[in-house]
Amino acid sequence: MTTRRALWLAAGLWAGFAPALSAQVELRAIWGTSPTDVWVVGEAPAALHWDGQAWNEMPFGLSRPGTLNGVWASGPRDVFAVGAGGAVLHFDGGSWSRMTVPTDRDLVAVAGRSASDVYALAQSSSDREAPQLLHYDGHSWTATALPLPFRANGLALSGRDVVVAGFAYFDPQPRERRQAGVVARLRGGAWATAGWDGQKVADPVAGAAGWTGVSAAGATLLLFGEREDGTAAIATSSGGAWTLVPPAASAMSRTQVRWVTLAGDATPVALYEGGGFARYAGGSWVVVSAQADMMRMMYGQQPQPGATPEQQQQEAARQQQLMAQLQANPMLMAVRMQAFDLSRALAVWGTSANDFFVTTGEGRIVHVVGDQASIAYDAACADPASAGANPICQALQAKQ
Amino acid sequence: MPWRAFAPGAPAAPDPLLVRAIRWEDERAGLRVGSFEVRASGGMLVNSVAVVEIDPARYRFTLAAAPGFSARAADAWMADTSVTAAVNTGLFGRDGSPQGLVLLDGARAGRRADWLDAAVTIEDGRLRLADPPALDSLDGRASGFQVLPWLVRAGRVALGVSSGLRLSRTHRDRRLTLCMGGDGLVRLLLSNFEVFGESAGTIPVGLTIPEQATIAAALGCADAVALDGGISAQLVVRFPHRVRRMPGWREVPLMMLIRPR
Repeated sequence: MTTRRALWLAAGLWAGFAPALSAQVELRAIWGTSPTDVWVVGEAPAALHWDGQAWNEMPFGLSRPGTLNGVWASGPRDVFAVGAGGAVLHFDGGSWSRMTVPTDRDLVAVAGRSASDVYALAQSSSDREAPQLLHYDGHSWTATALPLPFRANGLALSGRDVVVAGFAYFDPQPRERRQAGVVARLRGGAWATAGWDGQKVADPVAGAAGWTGVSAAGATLLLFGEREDGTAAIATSSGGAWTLVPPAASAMSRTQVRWVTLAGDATPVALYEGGGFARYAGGSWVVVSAQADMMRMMYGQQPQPGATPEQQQQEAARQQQLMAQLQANPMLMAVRMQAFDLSRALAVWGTSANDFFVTTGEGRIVHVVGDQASIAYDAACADPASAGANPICQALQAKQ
Repeated sequence: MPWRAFAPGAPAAPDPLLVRAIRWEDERAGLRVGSFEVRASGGMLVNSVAVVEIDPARYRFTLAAAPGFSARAADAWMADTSVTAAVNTGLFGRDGSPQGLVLLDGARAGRRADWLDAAVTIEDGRLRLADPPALDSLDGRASGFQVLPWLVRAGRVALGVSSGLRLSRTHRDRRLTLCMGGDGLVRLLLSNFEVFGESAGTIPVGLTIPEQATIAAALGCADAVALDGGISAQLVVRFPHRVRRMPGWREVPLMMLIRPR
């Protein structure tokens, strides 16, 4: 157990001491093939599998690797996990085995189209090396270098295209250093780059920020990253040019955006460190926060534009039920507030923007359904000694 | 509740809030490593900052370069088991070569650069921060190199008062600070230290130089300078039970090595 502490610079604020965290097990990647087949990997000694009812540990056994950074599956009996030192593990429905790959570089992501068409992204170890794209054809892995050196962070497949995003670090003039985004796209066997092209920033949108991640839903692609001034940048493309998406304008969005991704229905979902998330629909962000949730519970549901009287009645009934639960068990309030704490969010996967999972650096998996967030898994609860007094573990236990 | 903002000329003194915020994680006799978090840019930007605290009475510093100033990662220097810690110096040019004058055990390389307004000298294993002309008057076997800017000097925030006027005050990056504490301890501070380590997948947007100076002052640095930051910044510390690696993403030609006395 440890504590998180932060000092606020320049803004003139002291953040104070945050409450003790649960186990510091980073759950770094999540992928699902359906609402009843979702996989999570990271620093845990086992992969986690959601079967629609519960999260189950799937131990790596003798194949136990170091930290895993990516997971992808074509189905419950064909799962790939990649990580540090060129680790590629495959699950066949019974056990994990280690695959032979032509690199010992850190693998940061994996994605595929079928059991015989899987890609992994190998990080470059210095700014003079190009990242590598690994491909599995169902028999063996091969590696090819990307066209220029940059730091590759994200991998996505869109149709027949492979898209890799990251950033380059360059010195445009002596004593001046800059960062710019790089987006490399493999189409028809040839690479094309946008953003930094090795000499200059050729595309101001693709080069606007260092990209942390890229996600795809059908033909839609989304980039998420940080500009040099620390502000979040989001860009989308539907096969053509990249377009910047303005971040959410709300009090909560003044906190750091932790992650932005496309849900399975191609809706952008943003997670905020300040405690909540937002969906991008109809050209604007709709923010959902724990504070708003609590306000609704305390003061009642406000009529929602476009909601039918029946929907409003249902919502009112749901809030009343929730309030009754909270009155019966005040500890539930604290647990619910913690569910909205996405300050250490690391990865997101969901079939839609109304049903998605978030993994965190604190060993938690948060399940968001509609506007409600709940903790679905907490690594800290694996230790019976500490789980007994932990309200989150109690709540999880009560669910089962 | 206010903490602090950049104030050129302000006195440097250990800030109890910052001291309390440091979480010490690894320790050996005369050396320990910890970290803390700061928020910048109105709270939007979280930076993890590593602190390496070294007692110079128990450890000596040397300057090291591979033949021909070829580039090497800090981790490569740890193959020498007598080395407790390795940290890059600075600055380095586009071709990777050290900027300004370098003295390596008395041998001169490069020329003194006017725009580098501070120098790190190493005599008999002891560090000192000085003006660059001091490099010309060192003993025969001494080492040293030029850096910029001064962050804290003679117990006051120096940036914006006596140095660093040509530097961007808004550019955010990983920042590496060499701090000579008022308590006699040497401290190395590295912001965004986790970016190129095992927690891959993030961007090295970090602190501005004024924020770097503010933190150095709040740690009670009597004198502090910036070493090369960004992707060049790298720091490795050996403990009996593990090696703490805070790698960069660029190999560099000049390293400070720290060994027990």
